[in-house]
Amino acid sequence: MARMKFLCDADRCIECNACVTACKNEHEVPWGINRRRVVPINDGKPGERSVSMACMHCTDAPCASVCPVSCFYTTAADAVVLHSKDLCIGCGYCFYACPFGAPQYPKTGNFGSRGKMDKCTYCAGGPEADNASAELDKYGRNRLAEGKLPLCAEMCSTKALPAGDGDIIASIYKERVAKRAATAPVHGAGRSPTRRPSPSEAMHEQA
Amino acid sequence: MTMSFTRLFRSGLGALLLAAFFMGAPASAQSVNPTAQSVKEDQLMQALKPGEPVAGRISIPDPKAASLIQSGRDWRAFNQETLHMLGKWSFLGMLVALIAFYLLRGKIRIDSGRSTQRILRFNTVERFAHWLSAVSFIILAITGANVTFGKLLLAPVMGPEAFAAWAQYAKYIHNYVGFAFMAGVLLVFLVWVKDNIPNAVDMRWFAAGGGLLSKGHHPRRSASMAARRLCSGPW
Repeated sequence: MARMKFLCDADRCIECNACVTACKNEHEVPWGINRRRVVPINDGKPGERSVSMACMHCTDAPCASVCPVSCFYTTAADAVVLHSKDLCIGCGYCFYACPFGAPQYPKTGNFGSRGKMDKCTYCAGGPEADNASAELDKYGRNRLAEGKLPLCAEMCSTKALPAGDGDIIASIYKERVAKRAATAPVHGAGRSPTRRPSPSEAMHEQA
Repeated sequence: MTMSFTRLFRSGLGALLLAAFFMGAPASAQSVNPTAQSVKEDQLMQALKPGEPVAGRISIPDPKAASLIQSGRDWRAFNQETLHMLGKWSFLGMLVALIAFYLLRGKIRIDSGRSTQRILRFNTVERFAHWLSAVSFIILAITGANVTFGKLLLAPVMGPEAFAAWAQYAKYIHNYVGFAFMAGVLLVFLVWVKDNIPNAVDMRWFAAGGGLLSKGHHPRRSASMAARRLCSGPW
């Protein structure tokens, strides 16, 4: 059985936020909720990197562990962590337990209290029949049932966000890291971890 | 030198991402300056302990989203282990204590039966404060315990749909009855706080154990009932 994963290659992510926009548009996510977000670290400083973050579809999911109504389940075929909005009571426990800030809540209740939780579904919908209108309304499109990968990953222009079987995307990432280590960088890009300083740079360092 | 900075940072962040990816589990890092020359990969790996969150900048209008990794692990451990254990032993322990007392002492009856004369002990405001606190406390206890123990005790009996519907109502009730309880406790405090300073009569009452364990003997008690407060809370 495949275990579906996302992996954000921080060396490729350019913080264009296309993944965020694609997700919002594909699933018609309500205002104020972002199932995916891009966070630049060390913004504006040397070594700035951006990471696109959404639900990580954990093996031992903390959200499922703390849910008081047990509304989470892991799909058998793809090991994607999904939840039932029919069971969810909007208590907010999964948000406290999630290390990645994935669960979010529309402020629909009285005095702006939490509504039913919403999070990244790995474009795999919910417990309803695949692409039923009820599923579409509650969770958005079920691309996985159509044999497609999550839209954020499919349309990432720099291929910074591979999605798919965890083993396969891990091997792709390893290949990239190995290639980066072996390839001489474009002048000024400063990307290769094994790049030796040029003679002029070496002189500067000695000075 | 910038070259080596980026190199070190990249290996560190790569390690962080790989760790989060392969474990599929929480990881958080202390604030390490990744561009500092002294930062090595093993240092960054050591920093991946529960503690300070990893955060950056966010361009969507939700500042909370800037936090990349937070420590949810501690909260999960508290919620699923500590809280369950404390709750279980508090409930069972109190039950055992009450049964044990009943078996040892039995029902405490009025020595000479009920009097025919009735006198007003508490006025309307005092009784209202008492029952407002008492009723809302019981409702909060049931709906609150449901969040922690409902899925273990009720859900297997009721089934997931019925239990979720009940839990949804319980959540709303818990949210709003909380205000009634706060009002009740505040009222109780205001009405009775002046009676809560122990005096000499109370001290003798304490010394006699309040007559709880001795039959046919009633130690004298002050009207202020400071002693009673100590035993049963302010209400």
